[in-house]
Amino acid sequence: MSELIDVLLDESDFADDAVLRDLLDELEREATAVRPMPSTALAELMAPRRAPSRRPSSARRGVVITGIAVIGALGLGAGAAAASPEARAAIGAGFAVIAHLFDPGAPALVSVPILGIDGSSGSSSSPEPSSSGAPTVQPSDTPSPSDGTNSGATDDPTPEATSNAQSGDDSGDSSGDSNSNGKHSNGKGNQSGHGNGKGQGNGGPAPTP
Amino acid sequence: MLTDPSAHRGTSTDRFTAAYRELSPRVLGYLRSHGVDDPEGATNDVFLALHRRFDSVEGGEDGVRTLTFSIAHARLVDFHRARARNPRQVSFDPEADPRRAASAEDTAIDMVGGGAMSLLSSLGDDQRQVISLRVIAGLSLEETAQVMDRSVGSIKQLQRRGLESLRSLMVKETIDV
Repeated sequence: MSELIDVLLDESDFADDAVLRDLLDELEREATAVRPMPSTALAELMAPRRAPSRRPSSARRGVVITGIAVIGALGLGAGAAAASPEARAAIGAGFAVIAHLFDPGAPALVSVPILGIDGSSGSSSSPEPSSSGAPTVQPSDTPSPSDGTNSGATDDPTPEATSNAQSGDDSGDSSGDSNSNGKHSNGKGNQSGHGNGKGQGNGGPAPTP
Repeated sequence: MLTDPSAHRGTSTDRFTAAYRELSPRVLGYLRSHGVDDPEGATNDVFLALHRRFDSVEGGEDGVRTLTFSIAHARLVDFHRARARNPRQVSFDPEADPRRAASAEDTAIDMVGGGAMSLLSSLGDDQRQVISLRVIAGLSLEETAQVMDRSVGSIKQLQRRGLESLRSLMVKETIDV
Protein backbone atom coordinates (compact mmCIF):
# COMPACT_ATOMS: atom_id res chain seq x y z
CA MET A 1 0.00 0.00 0.00
CA SER A 2 3.02 2.26 0.27
CA GLU A 3 2.85 2.71 -3.49
CA LEU A 4 -0.50 4.39 -3.02
CA ILE A 5 1.06 6.72 -0.46
CA ASP A 6 3.77 7.57 -2.95
CA VAL A 7 1.14 8.31 -5.56
CA LEU A 8 -0.84 10.36 -3.05
CA LEU A 9 2.17 12.47 -2.12
CA ASP A 10 3.09 12.90 -5.75
CA GLU A 11 -0.41 14.05 -6.68
CA SER A 12 -0.23 16.76 -4.01
CA ASP A 13 3.35 17.89 -4.70
CA PHE A 14 4.69 16.37 -1.47
CA ALA A 15 6.71 13.68 -3.16
CA ASP A 16 9.93 14.66 -1.39
CA ASP A 17 8.44 15.06 2.06
CA ALA A 18 9.83 12.11 4.01
CA VAL A 19 8.27 13.22 7.30
CA LEU A 20 4.81 13.30 5.82
CA ARG A 21 5.45 9.98 4.19
CA ASP A 22 6.41 8.38 7.51
CA LEU A 23 3.32 9.84 9.12
CA LEU A 24 1.05 8.37 6.45
CA ASP A 25 2.81 5.00 6.71
CA GLU A 26 2.27 5.03 10.45
CA LEU A 27 -1.35 6.02 10.00
CA GLU A 28 -1.95 3.05 7.72
CA ARG A 29 -0.26 0.60 10.09
CA GLU A 30 -2.08 1.96 13.09
CA ALA A 31 -5.49 1.95 11.48
CA THR A 32 -5.26 -1.53 10.03
CA ALA A 33 -3.59 -3.28 12.95
CA VAL A 34 -6.78 -4.75 14.37
CA ARG A 35 -8.74 -7.43 12.55
CA PRO A 36 -12.35 -7.40 13.74
CA MET A 37 -14.09 -10.55 14.84
CA PRO A 38 -16.96 -11.46 12.55
CA SER A 39 -20.35 -11.62 14.14
CA THR A 40 -22.22 -14.91 14.29
CA ALA A 41 -24.34 -14.06 11.27
CA LEU A 42 -21.29 -13.05 9.28
CA ALA A 43 -19.33 -16.12 10.32
CA GLU A 44 -22.19 -18.32 9.09
CA LEU A 45 -22.09 -16.59 5.74
CA MET A 46 -18.39 -17.30 5.47
CA ALA A 47 -18.55 -20.89 6.66
CA PRO A 48 -17.55 -23.32 3.93
CA ARG A 49 -20.44 -25.23 2.46
CA ARG A 50 -20.16 -28.97 3.02
CA ALA A 51 -20.78 -31.37 0.19
CA PRO A 52 -23.88 -33.49 0.78
CA SER A 53 -22.85 -36.77 2.32
CA ARG A 54 -24.36 -40.11 1.40
CA ARG A 55 -24.99 -40.99 4.99
CA PRO A 56 -28.49 -40.02 5.98
CA SER A 57 -28.61 -37.08 8.25
CA SER A 58 -29.69 -37.37 11.83
CA ALA A 59 -32.97 -35.64 10.98
CA ARG A 60 -33.71 -38.18 8.27
CA ARG A 61 -32.80 -41.03 10.58
CA GLY A 62 -35.12 -39.56 13.17
CA VAL A 63 -37.96 -39.53 10.68
CA VAL A 64 -37.32 -43.17 9.79
CA ILE A 65 -37.23 -44.22 13.45
CA THR A 66 -40.41 -42.29 14.16
CA GLY A 67 -42.11 -43.92 11.19
CA ILE A 68 -41.15 -47.38 12.38
CA ALA A 69 -42.42 -46.57 15.85
CA VAL A 70 -45.74 -45.31 14.50
CA ILE A 71 -46.19 -48.40 12.33
CA GLY A 72 -45.38 -50.62 15.29
CA ALA A 73 -47.86 -48.81 17.49
CA LEU A 74 -50.54 -49.11 14.83
CA GLY A 75 -49.81 -52.83 14.53
CA LEU A 76 -50.14 -53.27 18.27
CA GLY A 77 -53.39 -51.36 18.27
CA ALA A 78 -54.76 -53.42 15.42
CA GLY A 79 -53.80 -56.62 17.21
CA ALA A 80 -55.46 -55.50 20.38
CA ALA A 81 -58.58 -54.57 18.47
CA ALA A 82 -58.63 -57.91 16.71
CA ALA A 83 -58.44 -59.68 20.04
CA SER A 84 -61.57 -57.95 21.24
CA PRO A 85 -64.79 -59.81 20.29
CA GLU A 86 -66.79 -56.62 20.10
CA ALA A 87 -64.27 -55.05 17.78
CA ARG A 88 -64.22 -58.14 15.61
CA ALA A 89 -67.98 -58.11 15.38
CA ALA A 90 -68.00 -54.42 14.54
CA ILE A 91 -65.40 -54.88 11.86
CA GLY A 92 -67.27 -57.81 10.39
CA ALA A 93 -70.48 -55.85 10.34
CA GLY A 94 -68.71 -52.95 8.73
CA PHE A 95 -67.44 -55.16 5.97
CA ALA A 96 -70.91 -56.55 5.49
CA VAL A 97 -72.38 -53.08 5.17
CA ILE A 98 -69.74 -52.06 2.67
CA ALA A 99 -70.31 -55.23 0.69
CA HIS A 100 -73.99 -54.55 0.78
CA LEU A 101 -73.48 -51.12 -0.66
CA PHE A 102 -71.69 -52.56 -3.65
CA ASP A 103 -73.94 -55.54 -3.99
CA PRO A 104 -77.48 -54.95 -2.79
CA GLY A 105 -78.14 -58.65 -3.05
CA ALA A 106 -75.54 -59.49 -0.48
CA PRO A 107 -76.72 -60.06 3.08
CA ALA A 108 -76.35 -57.10 5.36
CA LEU A 109 -76.13 -57.42 9.06
CA VAL A 110 -78.15 -54.95 10.98
CA SER A 111 -77.22 -56.04 14.41
CA VAL A 112 -73.98 -54.31 15.00
CA PRO A 113 -72.89 -53.87 18.54
CA ILE A 114 -71.29 -50.55 19.03
CA LEU A 115 -68.82 -50.26 21.78
CA GLY A 116 -69.50 -47.78 24.45
CA ILE A 117 -73.27 -47.46 24.13
CA ASP A 118 -74.87 -47.92 27.51
CA GLY A 119 -73.81 -51.54 27.66
CA SER A 120 -77.15 -52.89 26.57
CA SER A 121 -76.22 -53.56 23.04
CA GLY A 122 -74.05 -56.46 23.93
CA SER A 123 -76.88 -58.41 25.48
CA SER A 124 -79.78 -57.49 23.29
CA SER A 125 -78.35 -57.44 19.87
CA SER A 126 -75.23 -59.40 20.09
CA PRO A 127 -74.67 -61.55 17.07
CA GLU A 128 -73.89 -64.43 19.31
CA PRO A 129 -75.84 -67.53 18.39
CA SER A 130 -78.49 -68.72 20.72
CA SER A 131 -77.90 -71.78 22.71
CA SER A 132 -80.29 -73.70 20.55
CA GLY A 133 -77.80 -73.46 17.80
CA ALA A 134 -80.04 -71.51 15.50
CA PRO A 135 -78.70 -68.14 14.66
CA THR A 136 -80.88 -65.34 15.80
CA VAL A 137 -80.06 -63.31 12.77
CA GLN A 138 -81.47 -64.74 9.64
CA PRO A 139 -80.37 -62.64 6.75
CA SER A 140 -82.52 -63.39 3.84
CA ASP A 141 -80.70 -65.18 1.12
CA THR A 142 -83.27 -64.11 -1.36
CA PRO A 143 -84.06 -60.51 -0.77
CA SER A 144 -87.31 -59.15 -1.87
CA PRO A 145 -86.85 -57.26 -5.07
CA SER A 146 -89.40 -54.73 -4.00
CA ASP A 147 -87.55 -53.67 -0.89
CA GLY A 148 -83.92 -54.51 -0.89
CA THR A 149 -82.98 -52.44 2.06
CA ASN A 150 -85.08 -54.29 4.51
CA SER A 151 -84.51 -57.66 3.11
CA GLY A 152 -81.81 -58.88 5.41
CA ALA A 153 -83.12 -57.49 8.62
CA THR A 154 -86.22 -59.39 9.33
CA ASP A 155 -87.23 -62.92 9.64
CA ASP A 156 -90.08 -62.17 7.37
CA PRO A 157 -88.82 -60.23 4.42
CA THR A 158 -92.21 -59.06 3.38
CA PRO A 159 -92.85 -55.34 3.55
CA GLU A 160 -95.71 -55.83 5.98
CA ALA A 161 -93.58 -57.72 8.41
CA THR A 162 -90.96 -55.12 8.15
CA SER A 163 -93.32 -52.34 8.88
CA ASN A 164 -94.66 -54.24 11.86
CA ALA A 165 -91.28 -54.88 13.22
CA GLN A 166 -90.47 -51.25 12.92
CA SER A 167 -93.65 -50.00 14.37
CA GLY A 168 -92.12 -49.28 17.73
CA ASP A 169 -88.94 -47.96 16.40
CA ASP A 170 -88.02 -45.02 14.33
CA SER A 171 -85.33 -46.80 12.50
CA GLY A 172 -86.45 -47.03 8.98
CA ASP A 173 -83.22 -48.32 7.64
CA SER A 174 -82.53 -51.74 8.88
CA SER A 175 -79.33 -52.11 7.05
CA GLY A 176 -77.12 -51.06 9.86
CA ASP A 177 -78.65 -48.54 12.20
CA SER A 178 -77.32 -50.22 15.22
CA ASN A 179 -77.72 -47.28 17.54
CA SER A 180 -81.45 -47.30 17.47
CA ASN A 181 -81.42 -51.01 17.57
CA GLY A 182 -79.37 -51.20 20.68
CA LYS A 183 -81.16 -48.45 22.44
CA HIS A 184 -84.66 -49.64 21.98
CA SER A 185 -84.26 -53.32 22.05
CA ASN A 186 -85.27 -53.69 25.67
CA GLY A 187 -88.67 -52.20 25.31
CA LYS A 188 -91.13 -52.59 22.55
CA GLY A 189 -89.84 -55.55 20.86
CA ASN A 190 -87.01 -55.84 18.59
CA GLN A 191 -87.33 -53.85 15.46
CA SER A 192 -86.10 -56.63 13.35
CA GLY A 193 -86.90 -59.64 15.36
CA HIS A 194 -83.41 -60.82 15.35
CA GLY A 195 -80.70 -61.14 17.91
CA ASN A 196 -82.96 -61.25 20.92
CA GLY A 197 -80.56 -63.21 22.96
CA LYS A 198 -82.49 -62.67 26.11
CA GLY A 199 -85.70 -64.42 25.38
CA GLN A 200 -84.91 -67.16 23.01
CA GLY A 201 -82.10 -68.86 24.77
CA ASN A 202 -82.47 -71.69 27.19
CA GLY A 203 -80.52 -69.98 29.87
CA GLY A 204 -77.18 -71.36 29.03
CA PRO A 205 -74.35 -69.00 28.59
CA ALA A 206 -73.69 -67.93 25.12
CA PRO A 207 -70.35 -69.06 23.90
CA THR A 208 -68.01 -66.26 23.33
CA PRO A 209 -66.32 -66.32 20.05
CA MET B 1 -6.17 -4.63 -5.69
CA LEU B 2 -6.85 -7.43 -3.22
CA THR B 3 -3.68 -9.29 -2.40
CA ASP B 4 -5.31 -12.53 -1.23
CA PRO B 5 -5.06 -15.06 -4.09
CA SER B 6 -8.38 -16.66 -3.14
CA ALA B 7 -10.06 -13.33 -3.80
CA HIS B 8 -9.78 -14.03 -7.51
CA ARG B 9 -11.05 -17.60 -7.71
CA GLY B 10 -13.17 -20.16 -5.91
CA THR B 11 -16.78 -20.00 -4.92
CA SER B 12 -18.63 -16.88 -4.03
CA THR B 13 -18.16 -17.76 -0.36
CA ASP B 14 -14.41 -18.09 -0.85
CA ARG B 15 -14.19 -14.75 -2.57
CA PHE B 16 -16.34 -13.06 0.05
CA THR B 17 -14.22 -14.54 2.84
CA ALA B 18 -11.07 -13.33 1.13
CA ALA B 19 -12.57 -9.87 0.74
CA TYR B 20 -13.48 -9.84 4.43
CA ARG B 21 -9.99 -10.94 5.43
CA GLU B 22 -8.42 -8.27 3.28
CA LEU B 23 -10.74 -5.35 3.84
CA SER B 24 -12.21 -5.71 7.32
CA PRO B 25 -9.18 -4.22 9.15
CA ARG B 26 -9.31 -1.25 6.82
CA VAL B 27 -13.04 -0.78 7.24
CA LEU B 28 -12.61 -0.96 10.99
CA GLY B 29 -9.77 1.57 10.88
CA TYR B 30 -11.79 3.88 8.64
CA LEU B 31 -14.78 3.79 11.02
CA ARG B 32 -12.54 4.18 14.08
CA SER B 33 -10.81 7.19 12.58
CA HIS B 34 -14.19 8.90 12.35
CA GLY B 35 -15.24 8.20 15.91
CA VAL B 36 -18.01 5.64 15.34
CA ASP B 37 -19.30 4.38 18.69
CA ASP B 38 -19.22 0.67 17.90
CA PRO B 39 -16.77 0.32 15.02
CA GLU B 40 -16.67 -3.49 15.16
CA GLY B 41 -20.44 -3.80 15.02
CA ALA B 42 -20.58 -1.25 12.21
CA THR B 43 -17.91 -3.21 10.34
CA ASN B 44 -20.02 -6.35 10.59
CA ASP B 45 -23.02 -4.43 9.31
CA VAL B 46 -21.00 -3.21 6.36
CA PHE B 47 -20.01 -6.73 5.37
CA LEU B 48 -23.50 -8.10 5.85
CA ALA B 49 -24.72 -5.42 3.47
CA LEU B 50 -21.88 -6.22 1.09
CA HIS B 51 -22.81 -9.91 1.10
CA ARG B 52 -26.29 -9.15 -0.19
CA ARG B 53 -24.83 -7.47 -3.25
CA PHE B 54 -21.61 -9.40 -3.56
CA ASP B 55 -22.56 -11.57 -6.52
CA SER B 56 -23.70 -8.59 -8.56
CA VAL B 57 -20.57 -6.50 -8.05
CA GLU B 58 -18.87 -5.48 -11.25
CA GLY B 59 -15.25 -4.45 -11.63
CA GLY B 60 -13.57 -7.36 -9.87
CA GLU B 61 -11.74 -6.79 -6.62
CA ASP B 62 -11.48 -3.04 -7.19
CA GLY B 63 -15.25 -2.97 -7.55
CA VAL B 64 -15.60 -4.92 -4.32
CA ARG B 65 -13.31 -2.51 -2.51
CA THR B 66 -15.16 0.55 -3.82
CA LEU B 67 -18.55 -0.90 -2.95
CA THR B 68 -17.35 -1.88 0.52
CA PHE B 69 -16.19 1.60 1.34
CA SER B 70 -19.25 3.14 -0.27
CA ILE B 71 -21.33 1.17 2.21
CA ALA B 72 -18.99 2.10 5.07
CA HIS B 73 -19.14 5.76 4.08
CA ALA B 74 -22.94 5.65 3.98
CA ARG B 75 -22.97 4.11 7.46
CA LEU B 76 -20.65 6.83 8.66
CA VAL B 77 -22.91 9.55 7.28
CA ASP B 78 -25.90 7.88 8.94
CA PHE B 79 -24.03 7.69 12.22
CA HIS B 80 -23.15 11.38 12.21
CA ARG B 81 -26.68 12.36 11.28
CA ALA B 82 -28.08 10.26 14.11
CA ARG B 83 -25.61 11.75 16.52
CA ALA B 84 -26.57 15.27 15.40
CA ARG B 85 -30.23 14.49 16.09
CA ASN B 86 -29.56 12.81 19.43
CA PRO B 87 -26.37 14.17 20.95
CA ARG B 88 -24.70 11.67 23.18
CA GLN B 89 -24.50 12.79 26.77
CA VAL B 90 -21.50 11.61 28.72
CA SER B 91 -20.17 12.41 32.11
CA PHE B 92 -17.12 14.62 32.35
CA ASP B 93 -13.89 12.72 31.89
CA PRO B 94 -10.77 14.73 32.79
CA GLU B 95 -8.67 12.50 30.60
CA ALA B 96 -10.74 13.46 27.58
CA ASP B 97 -10.61 17.19 28.27
CA PRO B 98 -8.61 18.79 25.44
CA ARG B 99 -7.60 21.67 27.70
CA ARG B 100 -5.42 19.48 29.84
CA ALA B 101 -1.66 19.35 29.36
CA ALA B 102 -0.18 16.10 28.14
CA SER B 103 1.80 14.14 30.65
CA ALA B 104 5.38 13.17 30.00
CA GLU B 105 4.27 9.56 29.47
CA ASP B 106 1.69 10.56 26.89
CA THR B 107 4.25 12.62 25.06
CA ALA B 108 6.69 9.74 25.03
CA ILE B 109 4.03 7.36 23.72
CA ASP B 110 3.10 9.83 21.01
CA MET B 111 6.71 10.04 19.97
CA VAL B 112 7.08 6.28 19.54
CA GLY B 113 3.78 5.89 17.75
CA GLY B 114 0.04 6.02 18.23
CA GLY B 115 -0.27 9.68 17.36
CA ALA B 116 -1.07 9.43 13.68
CA MET B 117 -4.74 8.68 14.31
CA SER B 118 -5.04 11.55 16.76
CA LEU B 119 -3.43 13.86 14.21
CA LEU B 120 -5.91 12.71 11.61
CA SER B 121 -8.79 13.40 13.95
CA SER B 122 -7.65 17.00 14.14
CA LEU B 123 -8.57 17.55 10.50
CA GLY B 124 -11.93 18.77 9.27
CA ASP B 125 -14.50 16.17 8.25
CA ASP B 126 -14.02 16.35 4.49
CA GLN B 127 -10.23 16.43 4.61
CA ARG B 128 -10.23 13.58 7.10
CA GLN B 129 -12.49 11.48 4.93
CA VAL B 130 -10.35 11.99 1.86
CA ILE B 131 -7.09 11.18 3.65
CA SER B 132 -8.58 8.12 5.38
CA LEU B 133 -10.14 6.78 2.19
CA ARG B 134 -6.86 7.18 0.36
CA VAL B 135 -4.47 5.95 3.05
CA ILE B 136 -6.52 3.57 5.21
CA ALA B 137 -8.96 2.24 2.62
CA GLY B 138 -6.39 2.34 -0.16
CA LEU B 139 -8.72 3.84 -2.75
CA SER B 140 -7.56 5.73 -5.79
CA LEU B 141 -8.43 9.34 -6.47
CA GLU B 142 -11.28 8.33 -8.76
CA GLU B 143 -12.65 5.70 -6.36
CA THR B 144 -12.55 8.22 -3.51
CA ALA B 145 -14.50 10.67 -5.65
CA GLN B 146 -17.03 7.95 -6.40
CA VAL B 147 -17.47 7.02 -2.74
CA MET B 148 -17.85 10.61 -1.60
CA ASP B 149 -19.96 11.50 -4.62
CA ARG B 150 -17.74 14.41 -5.56
CA SER B 151 -15.63 15.40 -8.51
CA VAL B 152 -12.05 14.24 -8.81
CA GLY B 153 -10.88 17.85 -8.80
CA SER B 154 -12.56 18.61 -5.48
CA ILE B 155 -11.13 15.45 -3.97
CA LYS B 156 -7.68 16.40 -5.16
CA GLN B 157 -8.03 19.81 -3.60
CA LEU B 158 -9.28 18.42 -0.29
CA GLN B 159 -6.42 15.95 -0.31
CA ARG B 160 -3.81 18.62 -0.80
CA ARG B 161 -5.28 20.78 1.94
CA GLY B 162 -5.48 17.84 4.26
CA LEU B 163 -1.84 16.95 3.74
CA GLU B 164 -0.84 20.56 4.34
CA SER B 165 -2.84 20.57 7.58
CA LEU B 166 -1.18 17.38 8.73
CA ARG B 167 2.22 18.82 7.92
CA SER B 168 1.56 21.97 9.92
CA LEU B 169 0.15 19.97 12.84
CA MET B 170 3.30 17.86 12.92
CA VAL B 171 5.48 20.94 12.93
CA LYS B 172 3.40 22.46 15.73
CA GLU B 173 3.66 19.29 17.81
CA THR B 174 7.39 19.13 17.28
CA ILE B 175 7.73 22.71 18.47
CA ASP B 176 5.50 22.02 21.50
CA VAL B 177 7.58 19.03 22.47
